[in-house]
Amino acid sequence: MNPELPHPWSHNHSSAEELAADRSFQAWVYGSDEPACAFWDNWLSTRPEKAVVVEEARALVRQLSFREYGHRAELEEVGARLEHLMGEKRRTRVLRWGGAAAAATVLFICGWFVLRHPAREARPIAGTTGQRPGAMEDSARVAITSWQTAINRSARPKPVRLPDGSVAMLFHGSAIRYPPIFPAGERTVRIAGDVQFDIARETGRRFTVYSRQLTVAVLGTSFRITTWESKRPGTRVKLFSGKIRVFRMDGHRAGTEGVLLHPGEQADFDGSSMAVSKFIRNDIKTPSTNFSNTPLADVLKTLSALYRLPIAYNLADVAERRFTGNIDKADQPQAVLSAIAKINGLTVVRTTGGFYLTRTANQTSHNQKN
Amino acid sequence: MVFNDEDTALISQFLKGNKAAFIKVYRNLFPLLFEYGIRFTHDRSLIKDTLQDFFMNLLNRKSPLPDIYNIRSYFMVSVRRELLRRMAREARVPVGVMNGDSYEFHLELSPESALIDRQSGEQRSRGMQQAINCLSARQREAIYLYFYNNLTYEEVAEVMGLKEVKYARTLIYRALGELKLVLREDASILLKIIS
Repeated sequence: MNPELPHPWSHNHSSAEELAADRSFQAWVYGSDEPACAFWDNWLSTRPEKAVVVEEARALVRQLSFREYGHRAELEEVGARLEHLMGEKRRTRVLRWGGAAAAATVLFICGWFVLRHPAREARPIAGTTGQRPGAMEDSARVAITSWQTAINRSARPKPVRLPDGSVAMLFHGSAIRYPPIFPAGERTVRIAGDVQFDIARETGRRFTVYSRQLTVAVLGTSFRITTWESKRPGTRVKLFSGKIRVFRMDGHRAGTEGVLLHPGEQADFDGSSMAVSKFIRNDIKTPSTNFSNTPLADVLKTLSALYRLPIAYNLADVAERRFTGNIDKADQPQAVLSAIAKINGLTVVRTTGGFYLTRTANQTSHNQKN
Repeated sequence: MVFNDEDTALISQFLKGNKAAFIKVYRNLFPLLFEYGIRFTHDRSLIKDTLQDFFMNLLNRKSPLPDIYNIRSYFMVSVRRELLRRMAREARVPVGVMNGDSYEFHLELSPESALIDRQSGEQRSRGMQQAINCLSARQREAIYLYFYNNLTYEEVAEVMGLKEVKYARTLIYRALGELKLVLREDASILLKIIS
């Protein structure tokens, strides 16, 4: 540790400053190291004439504890700025859809929502590097203003990579707000409109999605949320596998437990009350997933009903093809479809809220890597 | 301390493009560097800008770090040099002036140190703070690095740009020698030993 210092065992300390600067003496003062304590107890008992010097040294060590100025707000703020700068660099590369999301969970948030004040919300961080940083002293303000906003006004889905590697696919007229760096304890985003997530799996750090009416806390899972903002706003959450917790936006703040959903359950919220019901009926379970030389078109129809996802295909592509095998419902739809597609020389293409199976020959490069 | 080996490994990871490793390094080192920097100047914006540029340079770095035995002191040296350079620029004085003994180094005892010893607590702490203020900036800095950051004498010498390790020890011993005089004026130590 201190190679330049003679070992205290062999050293006859003579002054208070020598003692106070000795790491093992410090350990004795703080009682943090047992061998050191034993040594110094013994040393002191055999040298009563050193009592005053030892007491001085001990007082020095105890006094020399220094004020911390505090750096939390600065840590987050500079972290946010760095994240932003990194993001600018990264945006010049093509965002890949698929690779990073392979081991991820899927969640959909769909809805019809007109962004009311997109201009006011847009790009709060854009001016940060140019503006006087001292303007942001209050840590709470920093936390809010450093959030980034992404809006998609175009017809094409727009992928947004989140700080933890998760990807949010924004469909037309949707927006997401997220911090440039997720703090240690949690991952939180806010959404409006129609957003599909591939959430990077992370143990110990839950992913929370806030919409206007409901909050969804992800504990490692596959599920789908639908919100609608028409005359009678409502939200539906369906859980396919794993566990999620659903909170009302008002109830969450009040600290309620929320509703824990189990696979096959859905929660319906109409603005005033939450109802939980089963959406997978037991009677369709066994026969529907065990296929034996079943025409592929029938298999896809069954899967579409099972996962409640639109699965499109060209009849000519699947005609004459058959499938034998047992599908585990806990598997991700994309994984199942990719497997089936591969066997039959087809490719799975993601569509808005669903999938499309097509012949491989003309577009192998878009093949999903599952 | 959690630095050194772990950070060295993390840094080589993020130089290979691992972003999570960078965030870890950032979170490990920012508190150390910020708390160090704020003792030279209370201009938090200046420290923030300096640290931002420092980490950004690290991010853009293509080559591995030089073969250094201690990542922590390497970082502190870089930030110290850059911060003093920028302070000199803002104050419109030549860089050399800042590097001499004329820079400021704030060192305040933590409020708790008055509570540690109830017998003499507050009064002794006040005397100790006055004695600390009477030290040279270099002595204060050495004391800080050695007692607060737990640096070794080699690291103190490296961070402060001392030509030889023994100068670091001399700085610290001299400072402690001044500080212990405060304790001598205070009879409570003797009383404590007698009782």
